[in-house]
Amino acid sequence: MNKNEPFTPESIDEQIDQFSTADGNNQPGARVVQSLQTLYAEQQRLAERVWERLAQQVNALNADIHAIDAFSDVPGERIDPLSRIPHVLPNSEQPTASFPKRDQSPEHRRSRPRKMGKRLTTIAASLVALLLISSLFWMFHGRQGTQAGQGVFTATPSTPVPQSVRDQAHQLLRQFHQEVTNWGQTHQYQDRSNGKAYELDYAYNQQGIGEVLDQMVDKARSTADLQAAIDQIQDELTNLHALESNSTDHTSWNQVHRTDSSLLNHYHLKMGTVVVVSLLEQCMRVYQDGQLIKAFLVTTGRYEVPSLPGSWQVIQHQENVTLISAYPNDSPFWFPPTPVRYLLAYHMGAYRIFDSWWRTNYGPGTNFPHHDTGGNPSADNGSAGSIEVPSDAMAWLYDHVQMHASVVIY
Amino acid sequence: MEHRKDQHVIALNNSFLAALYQRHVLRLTTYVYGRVRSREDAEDIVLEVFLAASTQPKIASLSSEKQLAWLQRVAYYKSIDHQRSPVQRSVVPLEEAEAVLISDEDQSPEYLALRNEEDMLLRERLSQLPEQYQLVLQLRFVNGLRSAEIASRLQKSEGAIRMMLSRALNTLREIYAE
Repeated sequence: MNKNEPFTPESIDEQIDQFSTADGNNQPGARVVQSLQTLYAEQQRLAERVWERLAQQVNALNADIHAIDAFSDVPGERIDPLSRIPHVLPNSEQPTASFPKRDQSPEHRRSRPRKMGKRLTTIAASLVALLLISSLFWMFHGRQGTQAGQGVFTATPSTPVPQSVRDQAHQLLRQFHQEVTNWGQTHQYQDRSNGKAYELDYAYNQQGIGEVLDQMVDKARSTADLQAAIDQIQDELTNLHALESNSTDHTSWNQVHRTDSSLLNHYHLKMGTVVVVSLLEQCMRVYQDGQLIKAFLVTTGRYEVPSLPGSWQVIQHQENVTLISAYPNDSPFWFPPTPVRYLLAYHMGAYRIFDSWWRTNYGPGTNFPHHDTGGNPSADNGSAGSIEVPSDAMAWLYDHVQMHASVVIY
Repeated sequence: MEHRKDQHVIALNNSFLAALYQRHVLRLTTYVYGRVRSREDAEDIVLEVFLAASTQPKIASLSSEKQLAWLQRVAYYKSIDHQRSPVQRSVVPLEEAEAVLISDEDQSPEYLALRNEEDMLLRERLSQLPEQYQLVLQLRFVNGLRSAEIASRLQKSEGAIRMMLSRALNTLREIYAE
């Protein structure tokens, strides 16, 4: 191949491959390929930085709202924090309207000082503690709220919490952790690829829902908060018991399972579309009005970042999404921006269901370190918390599972 | 469980804003990069555009193409604002400039000016390519997909993707052939 030749459709992939590794090559073809690589890498870094700044500013404003609401002393008032954002940010129909500037990194601050950024930083810092609490309750009250089941926030009244309720919550939490530990010690997955053993109930431990429950109890400031935590722990115990019971059930993964039926009964989900995910079997069974209509093998969150067991609802239903990692790019869980065709989200915090076109193998063992036969190293472990589904299965799911459908994971 | 330690991510993840961001940020960045010289300005503008979008929930109901068009229109006005603003001029301290100048022959002012000019031209011409061409380049260079994989994702023929890729690259190649 003459490197002075223009790019040709017939060998475009090979030309790009060759030019991308041709260090020191000053030919126009090599320079354009390498410059594009540099430019796109720079754009990705920019996108990640903007994402952090955007989140920081929106959260600072959210915290501002919660601070006001917490002092409004209106028991039972429910607020959707995200729906309130537009009322706080400057309401602009004109694209040229000015907006608050960012809080500056030291590097940026040196060359270009910003007044508004500093002010926002102060607001964010003063309200961050309140934000942490409010975010947590927002996450979990969502499931108990309206049919929409998301984004509801309960203002926390200032009445003292009875010690008995607090004791009950702590006792139940201890019982939960103990049961997870005990069962996990005697029920483990032996990974042949690295010789390690993993507890089969790891999604319930401190890397998974266990930590969330701890935070719910620790951050509770009212009886209602504690009761919500108790309810959540009880639900998680129900799902944990279903997992334990399912471990001795040899019914084929694509058939109705007794534990599925128990959970549908428990959560009153005999009507409508319900997606049931078995973490143990690494499969998904879809029920319509209590009848099994479809089953797929899936891959759920890896040991370090498990998918969330519980009873949730679809809160996002979207096509053609580019996934952006929530982790910094030096994290082992970081991944480059990744386009997926279909996406359903079942919980705040990057807990989603989507087509993983880079993965060939699904089912038992794929949530642990393994070798994916497709050869893509990204597929050699479980996901980063989401539920990954083959492309054709995801297309079906996207058509048949709508917003607010229930998702039960155990 | 690092997901929950990053509370800021949680708060945004399922909002329409997050969906909008995930869908359009790279394409919008390409657009903004083609309009402003400073990377810091580009970053500020992209942020401001999405903050503006957060005030307009109705964007969620627009088609993907209209969403991108809206974001680009806001970015257009923002970039004009930035070009007019005197505080946006970035200044390299003299000591830093000297350090650059004496480091390498290839870092001569003429060489750096040429590279900056080429860099800016690349950004401009990339942003002026048709949207589909930009998308194909993004899938190739950001996602590392090959022609057949891009064709499968966009439901086009592999030949069409190969043609778009080669045309786009030949257009950009002229910058370095001139």
